[in-house]
This record gives sequence, C-alpha cells and structure tokens, in this order.
Amino acid sequence: MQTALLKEQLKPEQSNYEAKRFRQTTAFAYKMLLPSLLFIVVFIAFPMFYSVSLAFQGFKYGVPTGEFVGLQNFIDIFTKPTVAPGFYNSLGLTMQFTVAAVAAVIVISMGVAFLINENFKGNSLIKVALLLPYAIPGIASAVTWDWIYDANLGVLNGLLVKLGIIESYLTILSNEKFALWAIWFAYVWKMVPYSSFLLSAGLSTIPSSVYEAARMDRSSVARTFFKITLPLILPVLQLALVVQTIFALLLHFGLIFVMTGGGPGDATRTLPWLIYQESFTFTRFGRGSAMAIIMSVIMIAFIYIYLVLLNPERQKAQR
Amino acid sequence: MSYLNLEKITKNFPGCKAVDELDLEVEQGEFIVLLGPSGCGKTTTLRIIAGLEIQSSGKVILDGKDVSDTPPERRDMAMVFQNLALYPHMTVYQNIAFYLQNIHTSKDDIDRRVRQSARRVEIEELLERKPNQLSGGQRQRVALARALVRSPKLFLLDEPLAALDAKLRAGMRSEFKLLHRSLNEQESSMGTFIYVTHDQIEAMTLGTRVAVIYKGKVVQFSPPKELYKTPKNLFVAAFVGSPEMNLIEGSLSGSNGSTNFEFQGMSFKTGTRGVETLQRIGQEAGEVVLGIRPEAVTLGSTTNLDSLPFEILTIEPFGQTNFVRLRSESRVSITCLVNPDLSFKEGEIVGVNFNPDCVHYFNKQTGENVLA
Amino acid sequence: MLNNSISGRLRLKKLVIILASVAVLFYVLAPIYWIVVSSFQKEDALNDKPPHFFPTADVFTLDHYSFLFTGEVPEGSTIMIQAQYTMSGTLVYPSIINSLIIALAVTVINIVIGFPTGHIFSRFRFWGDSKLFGVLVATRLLPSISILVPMFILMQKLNLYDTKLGLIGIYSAITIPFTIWILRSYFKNLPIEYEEAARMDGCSYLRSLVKVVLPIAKPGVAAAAIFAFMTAYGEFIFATVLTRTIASRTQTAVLASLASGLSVSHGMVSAASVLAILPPVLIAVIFRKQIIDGLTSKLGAS
Repeated sequence: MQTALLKEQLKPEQSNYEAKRFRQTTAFAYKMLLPSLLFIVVFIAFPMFYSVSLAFQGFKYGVPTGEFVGLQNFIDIFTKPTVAPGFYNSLGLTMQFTVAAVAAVIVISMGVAFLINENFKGNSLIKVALLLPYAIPGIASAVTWDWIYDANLGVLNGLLVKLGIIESYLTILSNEKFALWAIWFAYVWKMVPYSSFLLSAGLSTIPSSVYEAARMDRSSVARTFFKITLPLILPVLQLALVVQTIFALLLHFGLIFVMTGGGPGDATRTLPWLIYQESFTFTRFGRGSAMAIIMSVIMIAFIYIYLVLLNPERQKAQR
Repeated sequence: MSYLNLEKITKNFPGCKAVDELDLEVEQGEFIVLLGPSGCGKTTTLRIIAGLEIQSSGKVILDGKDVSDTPPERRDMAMVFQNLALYPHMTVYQNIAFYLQNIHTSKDDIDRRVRQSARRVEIEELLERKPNQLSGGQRQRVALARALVRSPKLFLLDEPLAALDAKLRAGMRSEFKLLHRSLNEQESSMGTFIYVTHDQIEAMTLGTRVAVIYKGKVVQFSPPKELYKTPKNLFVAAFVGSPEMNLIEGSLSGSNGSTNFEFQGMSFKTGTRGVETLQRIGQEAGEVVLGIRPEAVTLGSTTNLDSLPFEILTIEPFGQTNFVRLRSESRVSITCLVNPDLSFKEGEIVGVNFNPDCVHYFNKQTGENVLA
Repeated sequence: MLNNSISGRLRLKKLVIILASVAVLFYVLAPIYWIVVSSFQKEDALNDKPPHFFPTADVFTLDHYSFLFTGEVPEGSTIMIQAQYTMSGTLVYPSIINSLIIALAVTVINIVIGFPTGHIFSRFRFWGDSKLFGVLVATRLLPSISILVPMFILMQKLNLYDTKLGLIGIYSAITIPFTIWILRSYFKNLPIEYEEAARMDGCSYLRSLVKVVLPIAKPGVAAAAIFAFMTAYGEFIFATVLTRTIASRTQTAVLASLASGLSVSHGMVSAASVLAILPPVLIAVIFRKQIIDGLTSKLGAS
C-alpha cells in the first residue's frame, strides 16, 4: 500500500519535524478513533475472544467448566465417533453448497451484468427490480420461499402440477434429495443482484473501442468474452468471488433456520447450522466454538486461494 | 467502378444530421484523407465505412460488392482507432496475432507474419512488452502493425496522430507516407488508405486526394495541391493552408475593361481575374470576398502609387521567413510572409501589394470561389 | 444465420435483450409477487389446490392486514380456525416501530462515528493505520454464529438483554466497519483542496469536517447511511436470540417467530412478510441511485 512505501521512505531519513508530526497525527487519529474502537472492542472483539477461549474449555451440561482442555474439543470434532461423522457430513454439505452457490451466483450475475450494462429503454426498470431481492430482509425472503416450497399448499408444487410436470405435490423441504437444493435456489435468488451490480461496474471500465477492435479482428463472441472481457475484469471478478464465498459460507444460515432446521435428518445440516445446534440446542459451547474456529480457518483458506490464484500472474505482468 | 464507393450516405443522430448525403469515390491504392473540423462528420463517415456505425441511408460498395449491411468483421478492413484500442492485457505480439488466431492461421504462419509486420514498423524488440510499458509513439506503431498483419482491402485510420506531440507527429507522418508507398510498390499488396484528421498539414502531406468535409458533406475532393491553389469555397480556403489565407470583404466593380476591388476606402486593380469574375457573376458590380495567401502579399515603400498603406503590427520570426501582421487605418487586418533580411519594423507604415494572379474571389452569399 | 448482416445482428441483439429482460424480471419479481398475492387471499382460498395464481375478486381480502394492525379478528371473516391467528400476530405493528427506531439510531451512530473515522483513515498516515483498517474490515468476515453465544452472555451481564439499546450496540458494531470502508474510499476520490483551503482559513479539523467536507460528501454519506439502515433493519438472527418481549422485538424477529409457529395462518404470515418487506424496499426504491452507485463503486477497494 501507498502508506507502507511512505513509511519506508520516512524511516531512514526522518527529520525531527516529520517525526514529530507523525507522532502528533497518530495521537490525534487514535483520539478520534476511540468511539469506533470502543464499539468494536466491546461488541465484537470481546465476544470473539471469549468465543475462542470457549473453544479451549471443557463443558458440562450446558455450562463451560472453565478448565483448559487444550485441543481436546478439536480432536473430538475430527475423531470422536459420536461427533466426527456429523462434522464431516456438515463439512461436505457446506463445501457442496458453497461451490454450487458461488458458481451459480457468479455465472448468473455475469449474464445479468452484461444486460444492465447495455443501453436500452427498460434498463432503469431492471436495475430497480434487481434491488428488490437485495433489499428484502433475509427473514422475509426465507418465509417467502418456505411458503413457495410448501409441501401441501406451495405455489411451486401448484405450478408444476398445472404444467403437467408432476402428478401430485412433492415434499421439497422435507425431502432429503431436494432440501439442500431448495435452499440453494432461494439463496442464489437473493444474492444475484449484489454481484450483478459489482460485475457490471467492472464491465463498464472496458472501453468500447477495445470491443470494436476485437470485432475488426474477427473475434467470435466466445473468444471475445474469454480472451478480452474476462482478463480485463479479473480484479472485480476476484473481489466478487471472495465476497460471494464468504457470504455463501455464512449467510445461508437464515434460510436453514426458517425452512429446514437442518433437516430432514441431516440433509441440510451445514456447518453454520451445526455450530448453532451445538452451541444453542445442546449447549456444548466448547465444541460449537471450536467448530466456528475451524469454519473461519476454512474461510481464510478460500480467500487466500483466490488471492494467490488470481493475482500473481497479474502482478508479475504489471511490473 | 471505383474501388470504394459511398453513395448518398446519410447518418441521423437524435438532434443532428452527422452525415448528409455524402458521396465519395476512391480508387485502389489511394491515400484518401477526410479532412475537417471536429464534429463535421468525418469520423462518423469512417465508422460507417468500417461498419461500426450503420448509416441511416445510402450504400457502401467495396470492390464491386455492396457491403452496406455486412458486419464489420466481414468487410476485410483494418482500423486504427483514435485511442488505439490496444488490448491492455496482451503483449504486443498477442495484440498483433489476435486477428490471425481468430481466423485459425497455423502457429508458424502467425509467428512469421507477426514478426514481418513488426519489422515493417520497427517494433521487433518490443514484441514481449505490454501496451502500458510503451511510449505513445511505440503504441501507435503496434496499432499499425496490428492492421498491417492482414492484407485488408482498406486501411482505416481515425486521427492516429492526435495523441502524439508535435515532433513525433512529424516523424510519423513521413513514416505513413513511406508505408503507403512501399505497400503499393507491388501489385500483390495494394494498400488503400482512408485517413481521418482535422490537421490540415497531415492532410496536405499525406493524401493523394483530400476530401474536405464540412457539416456532413464533401465540400471539395481533390489532390492537396489543387486544394491549396484552387479552393472551391471560402471554407476550404480558410481551413487549408497555414498560415491562413487573408480574406477581405469588398466589392468588385469595373468599367472599361478594368476592374477594381474596393474595400474600406481602399482600392486595388484586379487585373484579368477580376474582369473574369465579374463576367462570371454576370453583373457590372458585385459583393465578393477577396482571398489572398500571405505569401502572395508583398511589402514595399508607401511611395508606390498602386500599393495600399498598412501599418505593421507585429513581426514574428519563423526562421526562414517573417510572419507580419498588418492593419490599415480603416482597421482591415492582413498577414504577410516576408524575407527576414528585409528590414521592416513594427509600427512602420508600408505599402502593401497583392499579386493579382494569386487572388481568389468568393461569392459573398454562397462562399463559392467564382473562378474555380 | 442472422450473423451475416448488421441489421440482422441488431435485430438479434434486440431480441436477446428483450428475452433476457423478461427472464430477469420474472426471476426477480415472481417470489415477491406470490407473497404479496398470498397476503391478500382468504385463508381457505390459500388452502386450495391448485392455488389461485391471480387474486380474483372472490378470494380477495384485507383481513390479514386488518388483524395485524388492530388485533381484532374481523366479523364474518373466513378464518378457518381462530387459533390460527395467534396473538403474536398483533406484535407486528409495534415491532415495526422498534425496527425503525433501532435502524435509525444505528444509522445516526454510523454516520456520527464513521464519517470522521473514514475521513481520518483516508487523509492521514499514522502508526498502525493500515493494520487497524485491515482489522476493522476483517470483522465483516466473522461468522455471526460464533459470537452469538458470547453476545448472549455479554448482553445479560451488561443488562442489555432484551433491550433496544443492546441491539443498537451490536448493529452499530457490525455496520461501522463497512461504513468506514465506504467513506474512506469515497474520500480518497474527493479533492483535498477544499479542506486545505479551510485549514488555511483557520478552520479547526472538526469544523472543517462539518462545514466543508460534509456538504461535498453528501452522495457518499447517503450511500453509507442507506447501507447501514438496511443492514440494521434486515438483521434477524441477533434480534431473535437477544430479545424476548415486544418492548424491544424487531419486525424481523417477530416475523421469525411467526413463521416458526406450530399452526400458522399462511395469509397472516404472508401479510407480516409483506409488511417486513415494505420499509427496506421503499427505501431502496427511493434511494436507488445512491444504492446502485454505492454497489458499483467498490472498485479498487481492497
């Protein structure tokens, strides 16, 4: 970052005046930052540390015992026969869901982004319409989809029957095969607008003359997309991937909360739900917190992969 | 049938008519310049030729084929854009090779042709660099190489030198000329160029023929010399040639076979050209605009009866000549090019002479050059 | 195909745009359409198979809404089982007020705290600035579930359990980093000359912030405020877990409990959902320009 460079330059030959100014600025800045820092510390940092500490404590009938058990909770998660299979199942479901969700969101958003980037009469209408799934509170969309998927009275079933695709009403949310995918569909629905706008902003940075040059160079639609558009929006795409991955790992929780409660069986018991269950339903705080930490690690791993995968070639070339 | 034909091309945009029934005929191997001020429709015309804009009406016929409705990639034309439009994420090599890859040329062929093209514009050492690592002039050449690697029926260039500084521009101008010549040396690789610019120096130096475009119409289409010597109307006269032609409003009247041009209380004997002009107008007298280029104006002493008294305002040294601005008592301003060895001084009153054979008379209403 | 002519291409493009637009509109609006339509249908009509896709006159009713606002089951309404209209339905109306109060408070706090903070991060270099900023942004990565339990305990300890204040506190903590992020990038693109001129004119830092920067920064502030408002309004997990009585229950929490009730009137739940959708959607539509600008100007921020 710029700041880092500046500081490197400052250090070796800092005059007294510069050093003094730097100290003054630092003092001033932290004075101004105090309120925000206060909020963060009290409401986020503190609970977070407490949560992490819980992961290393034992627990008994709903109360953290306060005794330090080292990595026992973690070991249990990965190996204990009453815990591990459930955990691996959740892990698998979560991965499956995340990959499918991110892929769907990015692909659909890409298409929508092209659409809203075009200049045509209904453009503003589409943009406003796109805002709706984004603006709707998560709970409202969960309730809506729950109602749509209803096994006895849901409109989805009604439509399918009317169109002759199925004979009688299906159970969706209580159906092992469909439940996760139902959640997936509802999740993707809510997430598309956000990425669409982000990607369309990226698309708009490509000057139209580049596309015209490609046309003159007889590039096909596919080639233009893969060899010109994609490379040029890579940074934005990267940002979108990172953001959507984080969202996918965390934000589907609300949907599960309302629609399936982890079921049927454990068909939709993804990691976030598992953590919720362990912590709230079974009050096994230690284990729940340990799982939360594992999930955070996974998230960081994903982010790191994205940054490394998509960056070094770009950075090398730019120099 | 000429190589490229534009028939009554019209382009309407909401609020203005960019191109107005424009006709143009271009032969193979020519270097045609579309010259005009900004907003006159020349770039739009070029884009219509390319197929990037679609005309409201009119036809584009290339080598006998009507391509009015053909997509740009099938017109077999190469274009150099004003902002060059190099693919920023690709190396110079890849930029040039892109077209060849798209038409599925073999890898060896691609390599050979890319290097050949790069050699032609002297950028062979830059093949592995990216556009943002190149200077303006180098990028310009990459854009050229990209066009040259094909053998298109037409080369279209949209103000390619606009972003370069004056010195580079002068250098690139001669390179364009050489390029055009070398391409047309062999029958096999005829290069027909259509070049858009607002810089009349570029137009005069580069074009085999120049089409001056004003308000969406071709005002004059002739070789540069003709444009300079016989501008068809006031607009061309004022636009072409630097320094600008002197334009003076006045009236021609004649009696007894000799005519005078009178303006602001001064009068000058026009000679035969004036007589002819009056004849063409078909009247005894007429309101005209006189046009004379600075180099056809001479300065002498005020004692000469035929010369008109003007005061020297400023003398700007141009190296080989001095550029002199003068003003009469009646506040008519003219300019003149003078040998720097002659010692005139600012503030001096001198006698100005117009060379009657180099004078043009323009119809005041229509702007037409009466004798052209 | 149509690829061989420009006019053909243009027609094809037009067709694609129309089809895509219709598809997107349908995709985006269909669920919303359905929940709205459901909220106006009589309860027994909702129990019909196949469902009524369009609200015709014979199934139209405002019963669900009137109940949510007045708490009285209307005379002669077609409610199948009175018990289906649970009492918690009457909580919807007061919960809207709570949600609004909380969201507004959070927004104000965000701006009051986030505005100067974002400005400082953008204009000044000081010890630990990039690391601190990184930490702030990283708080967004937290799985909220992992701080749910500690938060629960913390709230009780601070006597903030089941209070609006507690929610305001948490929501502020969640939204402030994002506000700081938005405003920081925004300020970076703002010319610094105005502030420098103000300092030369003897303005103190805070004064210059309010009198010079704020008027210029209106679009950025608006975007940040709207995002904060919508995030605070739409949150329901913390709201559900950390509140119990109607004094502090938000609209989203009430909706959550309604939806997970055992025997539920679908019409009422639909109506409650629509009411929950309304405020954020209204804000989104009114401030659509600011939101879209905010969503699309996140380039280079990372």
